[in-house]
Amino acid sequence: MRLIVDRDLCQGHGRCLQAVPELVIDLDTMGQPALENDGEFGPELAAKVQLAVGNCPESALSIADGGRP
Amino acid sequence: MTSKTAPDTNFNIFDQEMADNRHAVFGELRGRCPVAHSDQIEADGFWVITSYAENKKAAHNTAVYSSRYATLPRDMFGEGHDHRPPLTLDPPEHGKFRRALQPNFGPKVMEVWVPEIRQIARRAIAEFIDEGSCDGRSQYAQRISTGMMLALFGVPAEAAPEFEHWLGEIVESGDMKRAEAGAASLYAYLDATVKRRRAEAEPPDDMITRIMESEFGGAKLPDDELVGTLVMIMLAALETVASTLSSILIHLATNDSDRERLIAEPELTPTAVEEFVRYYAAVVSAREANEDSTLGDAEIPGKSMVLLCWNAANLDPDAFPDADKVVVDRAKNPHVGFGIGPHRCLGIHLARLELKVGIEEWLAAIPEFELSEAVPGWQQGLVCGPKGAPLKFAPGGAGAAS
Repeated sequence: MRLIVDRDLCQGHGRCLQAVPELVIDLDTMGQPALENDGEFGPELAAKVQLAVGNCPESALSIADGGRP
Repeated sequence: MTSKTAPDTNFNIFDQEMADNRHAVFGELRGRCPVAHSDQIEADGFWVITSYAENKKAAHNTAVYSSRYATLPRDMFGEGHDHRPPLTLDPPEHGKFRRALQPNFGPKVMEVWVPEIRQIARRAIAEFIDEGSCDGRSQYAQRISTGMMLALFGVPAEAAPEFEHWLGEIVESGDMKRAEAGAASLYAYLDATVKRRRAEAEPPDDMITRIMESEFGGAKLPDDELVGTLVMIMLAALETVASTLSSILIHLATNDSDRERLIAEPELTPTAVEEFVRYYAAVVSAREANEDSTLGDAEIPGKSMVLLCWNAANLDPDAFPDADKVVVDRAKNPHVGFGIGPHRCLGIHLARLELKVGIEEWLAAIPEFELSEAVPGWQQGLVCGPKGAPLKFAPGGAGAAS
């Protein structure tokens, strides 16, 4: 599975950094998430990633099935 | 222009009774008319949004709901003073400011200030702990927000009292003339500081210098815009944090189980901070409609003022289960307490740290405390927090116990 960031919607609240620092390892200079492994994550992080998606007040995050195409 | 024959509400952010009962007032409006026309404040009134969904739609639709006027009334700062970048800019112009300023306000940049926040909090507590009572707002919450801002801007210790005086005149005096005089002094000080630093070979590395040297869309800001931006950032950092931290102190003074929980499980504090910001969100933001539009069931004429109410959005039961309760371990919490859209609070990461450290240091020193008298009402206007936080505790605090 993969965390997808809509970079037009993201305003840099940093809620994803709080929720899943294993995947969102930092915010860039514009406050947008810097992703480990291009956002790909395994089942062990699924609950935390879902929380990050649910907590984003801009609705900028989503989860895609599968890894990189 | 308006087809309305009767207003939906007489809602007014300057009404004391409404400020004191804002959760109930927002709840009544949201249930009846989540995008409502009020006949107050402006000649043609304004539109007040109380649902989560419609606040979000309006904040995201910057093409229709412009930040050209971001206050209510439009001319709150006086005629000719309504241009307050970046507050009053829309995309794409706003983006130039955001790109220049944001790197100075990131979470890692702010994290280095935690020891300073802790010191400010401890110094404040030391001054009243033996009294057994304090005003948690002026003697603690405001000390943290003001002290941290002075540190961030590199204001030397000898200038701090004067600086604090001007800020107090601007945000607390409630007197237009005194506020204008305070603002003029603040502008003059910052203008002189900027001019002096331009002449220095190695200006000190603080927020003023960093913003001075930032590129705004490929160019440095001219001095007048630079000083205006610095003032804007300073003022935005003060009442907001002070109001929210005061609300939190009052909450913890009156909710034993939440207080005990945060003492027993301090790792919950960041989660609780988000919940406090949801429930006690202090700020409302205004917009001006560029054109006729439909929001929810409301037909909003062009040129109307529209008020985004983050607190009302955060208490919407359609967006949050048990929305009217503080749940300190609320996990799913997409609150909009820092605002949303391009104008979300620039200082969000600093604010979080000030609130977190403010809670931690207070509870470490004073784990048991209560209200000494009733809260003296809530502030009217664009930032709504308790006017004071009258607290009492065992003199000496934690050190005096057992």
